[in-house]
Amino acid sequence: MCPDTTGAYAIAGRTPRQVEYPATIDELGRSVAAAHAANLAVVPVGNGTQLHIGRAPTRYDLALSTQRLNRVLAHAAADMTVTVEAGITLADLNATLAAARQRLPLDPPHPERTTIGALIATDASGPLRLLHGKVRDLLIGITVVLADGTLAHGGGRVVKNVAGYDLMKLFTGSFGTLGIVVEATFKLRPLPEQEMVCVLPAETTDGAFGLAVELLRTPVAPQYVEALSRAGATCVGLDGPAIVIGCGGIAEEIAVQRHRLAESSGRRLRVCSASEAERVYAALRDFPTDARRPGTRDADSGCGCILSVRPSQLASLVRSIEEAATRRRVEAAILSHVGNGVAVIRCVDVADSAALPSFADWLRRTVRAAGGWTFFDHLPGSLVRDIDPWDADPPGLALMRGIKQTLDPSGCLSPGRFVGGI
Amino acid sequence: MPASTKLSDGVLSALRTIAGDDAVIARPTELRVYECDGYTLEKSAPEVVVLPRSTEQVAAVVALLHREGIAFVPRGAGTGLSGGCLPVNAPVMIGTSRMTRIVEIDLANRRAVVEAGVVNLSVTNAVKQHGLLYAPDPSSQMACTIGGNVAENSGGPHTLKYGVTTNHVLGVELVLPNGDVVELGGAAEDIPGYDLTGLVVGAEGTFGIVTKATLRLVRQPEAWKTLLGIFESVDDATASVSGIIAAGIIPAALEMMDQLIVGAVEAAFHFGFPTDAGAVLIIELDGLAAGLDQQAQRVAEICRANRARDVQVAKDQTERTALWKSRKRAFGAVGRLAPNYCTQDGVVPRTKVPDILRRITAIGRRYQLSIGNVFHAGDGNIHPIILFDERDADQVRRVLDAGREILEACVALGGSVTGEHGIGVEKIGQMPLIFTPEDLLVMSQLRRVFDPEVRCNPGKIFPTPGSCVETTRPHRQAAM
Repeated sequence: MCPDTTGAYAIAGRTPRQVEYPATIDELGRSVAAAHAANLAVVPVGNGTQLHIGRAPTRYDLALSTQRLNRVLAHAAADMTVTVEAGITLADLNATLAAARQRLPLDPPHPERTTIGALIATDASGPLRLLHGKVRDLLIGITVVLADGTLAHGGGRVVKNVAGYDLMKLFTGSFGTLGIVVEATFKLRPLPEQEMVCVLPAETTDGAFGLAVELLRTPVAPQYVEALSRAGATCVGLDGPAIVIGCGGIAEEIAVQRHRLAESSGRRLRVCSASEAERVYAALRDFPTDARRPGTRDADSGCGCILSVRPSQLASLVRSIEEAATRRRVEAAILSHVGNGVAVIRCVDVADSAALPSFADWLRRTVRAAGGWTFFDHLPGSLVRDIDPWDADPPGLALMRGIKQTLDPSGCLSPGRFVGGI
Repeated sequence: MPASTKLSDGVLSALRTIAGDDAVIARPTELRVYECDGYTLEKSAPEVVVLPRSTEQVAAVVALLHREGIAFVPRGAGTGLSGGCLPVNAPVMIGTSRMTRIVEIDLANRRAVVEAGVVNLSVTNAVKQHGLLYAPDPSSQMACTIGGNVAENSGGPHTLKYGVTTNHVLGVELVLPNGDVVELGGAAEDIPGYDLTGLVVGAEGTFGIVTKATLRLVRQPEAWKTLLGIFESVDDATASVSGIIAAGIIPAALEMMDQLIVGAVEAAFHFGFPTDAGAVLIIELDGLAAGLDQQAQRVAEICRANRARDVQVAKDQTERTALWKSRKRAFGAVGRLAPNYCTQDGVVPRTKVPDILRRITAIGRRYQLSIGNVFHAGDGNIHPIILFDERDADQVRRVLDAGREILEACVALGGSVTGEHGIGVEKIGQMPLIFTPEDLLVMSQLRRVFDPEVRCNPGKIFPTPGSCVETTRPHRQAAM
């Protein structure tokens, strides 16, 4: 008998009756088919690191883990593509690729725990999205187990391919509601020969945004440009509001970018040492979902969201978020992927948790009024019933429901986990 | 399906009421323009063409057809290469060519919202004075429309570095096959729910008619360096392509033309290509000026290591422009070589480019056909151009057979049957080479979510046994 691991896969207090760890794709398919025949609800899981994201499932019988499906199936180094099973972690994959001086340039939080399946299912992203895009820009082939256990695939192993519908796009960010990703093929990028991380301090959060916007107009080609609020900077071990710029390339490219950055920002630019660069980048990437100050009660910590607007709206939005948070005696740590119009907000210090629901509600309305969207990717237990992780009415919701109904008519896959209760 | 029944006068007059008299084309002589796209092996004219001027008109037309149970086919500029807008059991064609407004240019956010009929190059022309461009650049970019690009997920030479259409479309306005208008995606990057925009791009117009698109604009690179590698043989050129990619260099574009194509292009445009060379590579590097010299040097070294006769660098913007003009008009230049040509669009893993080129040569020899090659070598996306004369039925048959063999060879090498032209009607027969019945079932189920009665662009992409489209053979041969 295996030890009981069901508790590790609880979602919002709901525990599965059973966990399975299939060793092969066929075995996983058979598990799904059997569950389907018995009308059991299945939630696919990797290492279980993203289960705090999304709504609680309406039914939850079986957690189906892809942990043992963790092989690199084919790394065609000269073609710059790789095919993997879904249970491999991003860090393990990138360690393999590094031997060929290549990488999959996606950097969600905690790559050492995040499986490729979870990365695809949650469409997680990080600083590198500025230069390299998201999963949708790199995923070129996919194999999924459908609700009834059959295998289906889309795309292929070549970098350019328009045959058939783009199932890669459909399954990316679908939160396990349409099928279970078991295999994926990505195109890869060369590892930069050299990297440079620069910190540019600012007086205020506003000032940091101003610098970032200016920087994105100068002739540099950074891998990322991140703006940090004062509390955000503290979370990554920096003092005061700042922007962090990451550049990659050959020596000449690095040198000229360093020169131009220094020129446009005066003497304030600080180039990090190699060890600091590594630490700062990792802190940006892993921007905490569970940061807490001493004295903050656990139940209230880690309330957080990711908002997305047009990039030009970000600065004023972040300013008003900071003010609104302060009014409610909430300290919000904010990290922004400035060029993408995306901000990660973490409530790191909450004086009175009763303020959080109204703050969350205010946030969603304000972002929406700016034409954007708020995704609460971390909700502490006290809020999970009150706050919908997603806006309730995204464009095309009726079509989304239609797709779910078509691919999973009996509602066996992650029922109720997704947008609009899909 | 009302394929054989003629449209009633009532429907025709309703179309005129919605779109205006001048927007409805029903005279057989005028309809001939619409009987095929750039894929000319099959021809079939619609009974009527409607050219609406607004989303509202498209929606009204589609709603009318929905009520009447009439199938329709969307069309942009008709530059497609797989018969994607060929009417198959669809009496009505809805063309978006009059929807040419650039609705919004948002310089601060590098976005543009354009109507479906806006020509691809017009987008770049509208923003280039601000240092921006729209990256996907199909060779037909002076004519093809954004709507058609969205339908086909079009590529182009510079997509090697910058990605294809789907990487640059943030949202679409879509008229569903029942006439409802939906907005999918939008100006923000992370929108909740399934990525329906990603699903619609490349669906070949089978989910509805895209009437607007929100596009991403990119900054013009600070500098370019465009190299022309001249080789004695195709083998040496393709080995250089593999060498460049394997060295971790991602050029903005990496294109090959073989001797047959170089000859045709030189005769047409007098660029100064060496017509005695076995093949040429156009290699464009872009980015920060600082790194380009060293990269160019490495590329040149790789070419020389693969026995390049010469590696030249375009000396200025004028020469660069002339070089690209020659490349992008290569298809047109081929018209000098034979009355007709047909191009394939298979893809192989990039290291297999030398293999597929050798196989294409062998296939051409076996079928006694002239085949030229001009293609996106860096992506492994081949475009063998098979020359023929459509008046010779035996030649046409050999063209079709050779084309099919080339695609089978691509699949055998681990590739796909289409990199950027789409399945359309042309490659329906090849879908089972790369997809299982289960894969195809999922895809056709998805189609029915958008189009339950399969009235929007029927007869495309999917082998449908029992329909009027012959699926046991690779092509319906309407041209013969």
